[in-house]
Amino acid sequence: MLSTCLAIAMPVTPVSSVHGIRVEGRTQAGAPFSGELAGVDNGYLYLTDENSHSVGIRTDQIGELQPQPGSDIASAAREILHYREILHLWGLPVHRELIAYAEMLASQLEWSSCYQTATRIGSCTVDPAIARAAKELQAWSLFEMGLFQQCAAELEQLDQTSNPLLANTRICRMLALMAMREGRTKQAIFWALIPKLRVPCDNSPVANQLHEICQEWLKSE
Amino acid sequence: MERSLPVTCRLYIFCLLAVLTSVNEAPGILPLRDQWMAANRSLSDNKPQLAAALFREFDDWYADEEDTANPEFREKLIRLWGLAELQAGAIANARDLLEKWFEEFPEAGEFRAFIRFQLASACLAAGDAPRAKHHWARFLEDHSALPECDLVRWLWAECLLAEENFREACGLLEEITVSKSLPQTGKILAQAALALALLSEGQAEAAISQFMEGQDGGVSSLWRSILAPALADALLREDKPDLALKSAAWFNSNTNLLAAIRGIQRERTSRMGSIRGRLWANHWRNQLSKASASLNKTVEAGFGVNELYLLRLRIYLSAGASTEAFYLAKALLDSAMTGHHAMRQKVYCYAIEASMAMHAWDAANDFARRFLREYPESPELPGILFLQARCSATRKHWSEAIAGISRLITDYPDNPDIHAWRFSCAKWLAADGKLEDALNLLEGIKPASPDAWREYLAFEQANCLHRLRRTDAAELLYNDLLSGSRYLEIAQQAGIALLRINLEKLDQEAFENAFNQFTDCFPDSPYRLMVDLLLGSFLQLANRLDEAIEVYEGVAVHQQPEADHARRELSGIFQGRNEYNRLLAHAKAWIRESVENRRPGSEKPWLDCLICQRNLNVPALGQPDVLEFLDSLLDRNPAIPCTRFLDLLENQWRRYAVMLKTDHDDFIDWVRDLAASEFAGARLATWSGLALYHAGMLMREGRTDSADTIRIHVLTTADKEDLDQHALFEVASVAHRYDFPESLLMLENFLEKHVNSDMAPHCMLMLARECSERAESGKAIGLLQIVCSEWPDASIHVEACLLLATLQYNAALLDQATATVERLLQNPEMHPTETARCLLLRARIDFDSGNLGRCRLNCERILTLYPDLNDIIHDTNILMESLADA
Repeated sequence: MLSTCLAIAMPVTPVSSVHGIRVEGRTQAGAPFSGELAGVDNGYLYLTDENSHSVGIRTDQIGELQPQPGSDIASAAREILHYREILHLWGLPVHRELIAYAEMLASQLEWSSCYQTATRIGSCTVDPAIARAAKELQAWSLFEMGLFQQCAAELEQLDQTSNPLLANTRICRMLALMAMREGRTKQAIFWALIPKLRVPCDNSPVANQLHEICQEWLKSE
Repeated sequence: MERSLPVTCRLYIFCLLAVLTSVNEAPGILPLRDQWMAANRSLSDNKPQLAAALFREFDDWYADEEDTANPEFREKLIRLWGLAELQAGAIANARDLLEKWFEEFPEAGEFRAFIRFQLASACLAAGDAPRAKHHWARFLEDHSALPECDLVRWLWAECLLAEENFREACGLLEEITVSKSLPQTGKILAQAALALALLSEGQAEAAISQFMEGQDGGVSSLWRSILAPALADALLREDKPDLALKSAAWFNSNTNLLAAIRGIQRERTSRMGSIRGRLWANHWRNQLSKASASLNKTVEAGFGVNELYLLRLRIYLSAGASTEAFYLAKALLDSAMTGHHAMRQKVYCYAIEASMAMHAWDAANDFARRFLREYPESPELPGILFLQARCSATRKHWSEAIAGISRLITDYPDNPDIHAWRFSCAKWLAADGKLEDALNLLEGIKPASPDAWREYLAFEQANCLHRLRRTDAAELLYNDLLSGSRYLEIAQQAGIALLRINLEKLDQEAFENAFNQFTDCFPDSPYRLMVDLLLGSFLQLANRLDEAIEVYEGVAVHQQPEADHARRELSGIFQGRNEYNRLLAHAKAWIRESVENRRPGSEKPWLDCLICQRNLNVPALGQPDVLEFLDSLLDRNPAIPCTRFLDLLENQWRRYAVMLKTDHDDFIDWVRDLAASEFAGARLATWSGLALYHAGMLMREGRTDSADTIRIHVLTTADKEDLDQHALFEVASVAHRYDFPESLLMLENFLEKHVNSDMAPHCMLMLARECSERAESGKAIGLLQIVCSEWPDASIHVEACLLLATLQYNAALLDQATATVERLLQNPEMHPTETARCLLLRARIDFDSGNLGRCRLNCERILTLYPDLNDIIHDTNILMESLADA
C-alpha cells in the first residue's frame, strides 16, 4: 500500500523536460569541469559546455560536484533529486537545501512527495544531522499519511526515548498521538507535556496546540 | 585616588573640542594670540595635555590683559581649558574649572547641557557621587526637554544601585519606563533594569509585574529569560509559587542567551553616528555588557540548564503542579542530562514527592525502588527511605509506614535526621491508635531533641494523653503551652484543646477561664471564630440558648466556613424551640446571602424553609423571591440547589403555581414542561437538573423504567461538569446500575468533588463493586475500609462491611476478614438475610483456616435459624458436605 501510494504521489519528471542547472566540479584526479547539467546515463554525467558541446564524465571518477555560484538550488531541487545516481556527490549545502525543500513540501501537505524526498536524501547523505532531519521528515510524512506502524518503526530508529527532553516538538506530537491511539494515556501525556517542560519552553503553535490537547487528556484521566 | 574618564568619553570631548576650537580666534597682541592659537591647535590635534598646559600658561601670563579679562573671552578660556583638562584625565582640575565656569558664567547657554553632563561624569569618576548627583539634578531641572534626561536618570539610577539605594533607583528607572523620547527597546531595557532593582530590593512580585506588562519576543523575552531564575528563586522564597511558575516558563539556556546578547551587541555597535548617537550607543552597549556579565554570574551561581530543571521541579511541586513535576522528573530520569549523580538523586526525591502528591503510590514506590537499586550506597538513601515511609503514611497504611521508619531508625541511628524520624514515627503511631507506644517514643525523644522541638513534642504528648482520656495530665501540658510557648501556633492550638476539654467536662468556670485567657492572649487570633463556635457550643450545652444565639449570630456574619457552621447551629436552636418564624427569617437571610454571592450554598436553609412551610402551612417564599430564585436557577446560579428548591415548590404547589402564574395543576407536569423548554433551548445544564428531578418523581410513582430512561438520557447528553451534587450522584448511579463504560470515571469524579457528601459512602460502595469486577480488589478493599470505619451510620454500612469481608476472604486475608465479620455480627440491627450471609462467610473462613468445629457450629446455626433463605441454605449444605469430606 505504501509503495503504491508513494508511486502515485511522486511524479517522475521526464529527462527531456528538465532545465539544466549550471554545475562545476573536479574529478578525483583534480581536473576541473563545468557546464550545464544535461543528464546522467549509464554511469556518465553529461554536461553541455558554453559551445553547446556535450561532455561525458564517469560518475565514479567525480571528486567534487556543486552548483555554480549564484544557482538557485531551491528551485532546482526537483531536478537535483531526479538524478539519484549522483545525489551523493553533491556537497552539504545542497543536501541542506534539499531538506528545506522537503520541509516546504510538508508545509504544503504534500506528504508522499515529502516522504520520497526525505528518503532519497537520507539514503545518500553521510552527515548525521541531515540524516536525522531526513529521518524525522520520513516519520512525519508517514504519520500524516496515517501509516502509524511504519512511522513508529522510523521513530524507533531515531531513538528519541534515550533523551526525551531533546526530542523535537514534532516528534513529541507524533509519539503522544500514537500513544493515545493505542490507549497508553500516561505515555501520551508524557510526550504531550515535554515541549512545555523543557528549557527553554517551546511556545510554538504546534507545542501550544499539543499542550491544549494534553490538558483535555489530563481532565479525562 | 582619582579615577580617569573612560576612553570613549575622552573621545567625545575631543570631537566636541575639535568643533569648538575652530571658531575661537585669538584677538590682540602677537604673543597672547600665538599662545591662544597654540593651545587651541593642540586641542584640535588631540594633544589635550599640551593644550591644558598652554591654557594654564596663557592664564598665568595674560590673565590681566585687557582683552583676556573680557568676560566673553574668559568664558571661552575657562570652558576650553576645563574640557582640555578633562580630556587629559586631570579630573580634579577639570572639575574645578568647569564648576567655576558654571558659577562665573550662569548666562552662558551654549554647550551648557553637554558640559553639565561631562562634569557630572567627571565628579563620579573622581569618586564625588554627591556632586555628580547635584549636577544630574541640575541637568534634569535645566534641560528637561532634552532626550538625554533619560540617560542622566539612568546613570543616576546606576549610581544609586551601586550604593544599594534601590528605592530611589527604582523611582528614576520608573520615570524612564514612562518616557516618551525613548525607543521601545530602550523602554524594555529600562523595565528590565527596574525589575532587577526591584528584585534587589526584595520586591520580587513587583519585579515580575514589569515583565508581565512587557511584550513577547525581542529584548523583552531575552531579559525575562536572564532574570527568570533569580526571580523564580526569590518568589519561591517569598512563598509565591504561582508567580514563580510564571517566571519558570521563561527559563532559557545560558548558551542561547549569550548568543542573543552578542547578536544585539553586534547590531548596535554597527550603528554609530553623531556624538549624541554615540553616547546612547555606548550606553546601550554598557547595559548589554552588564546583562552578559550578570548572565555569566548566574552560571557561576549554579543556574546551568540542569539547575534550571531542578529549580523548575521545585517550583512545580510548590505550586501544586504535581503532574508537570512528575512527568518532568520522569523525563529527566530517562534522559542522559541527569548524568550527574547528585542531580539524579535529587530528581528521584522530587519524583517521589510528585508521585505522592498525585496519589500515584505505585509510581512513588517504583521510583524509590529504582533509587535503591541505582544508589545503594548513596548518602541520600535514608532520605528516600523516609519518603517511602511517608508515602505509606500519606496513604494511611500506618503499619507499613511505622515498619519502614522503624527500620530506618534502627539502621541509621547516627543520621542527623534521626530525631525528625522518631518524631514522625510517634505521630504515625498516634494516628494508628497506638497511643501508649507514641507516648513512650515521645518521652524517649525529649532529652536528645533540639530545644526548639520541646513544645511540639509536648503538644503531641498532650494530644495522646487527651485521646487516652488522661485529661488531667493533658490539661497540665496544654496549660503550660498556652501560657509559655514561644510558638504562637502551638499556644493557640493548646488553648483550643483546653476549651474542648472543658467543653467535654461541661465545667463552666474552667471553660470561661480558658476562654478569657485565650481571648486575652490572642485578641487577633485567626482561630477566633472557631473559639467563638466552641463558646456557642458550650452555652448551648449549658442550655443558655439566648447567649448561644448571640454568639452564633456574631460568627454568622463572616464569610468563613465557621459562619456556615454557626448558621447551622442557629437553625438547630430555632427548630428545637419551635420558633418557625425566626427559623424562616434566618433561613431566608442565609439563602439571600448565598444567592447574592453566587456561591454554592448549603442545602440546610432550603430544608429549613421546607420545615417552616410544613409547620406554618404557608409558602415559605413570597412571590418576588420565588420568581427571582427560579430565574437564578435557570441562570445557573450555584446558590440554588435544584432539588431542594423544587421540593419547596412541590410542597405548596397550588399557591406557588399562582405566584408563578402557571396553568399547571400538577407539579410534575410543570417540572416536565420546564425541563422540555430548557432542553429545546439547548440549556443542557439546567435541563439535566430538572430532568433528574422529574425522574425522581416518576420513581416515587413506581415508574422505574421511565425514570431510568430520563436518567440515561441525561447521562448520555449532559456535560458532567455541569451537574450538581445530587444530579452527578444520580447519573453516576444509573451508569453503575446499567454498566455504562463511564461509570467508574463518574464515581471517581463524584468522590473527588464531594467526598464529604452524605452520598459519598454509597458512591464508594458502587466504586468498590466496579473495582472488584475489574479485579482491583486492593482498591476495592481500601474504599470499603473507609466506608466501614468513617460512616457507621450510613444505610449501606452493613452491605459495605459484608462486601469488605467477602473481598478480604477472597483475597485470603483471613484474619482481616474474621475481624470484619466479628464486628459486623455485633451489630444488633442487621436484617436476618444479612446475618445469615455473615454467618455463612464466617463458616467459610473457619473452614479455610482449619477451624472445622466452629465452621460446623455456624452452619448448623444457619440451617436452624434461617431455613427459609433457600440460596443461603443451599450454599450451607455444600459447605457441610465439604466438612464431611474433610
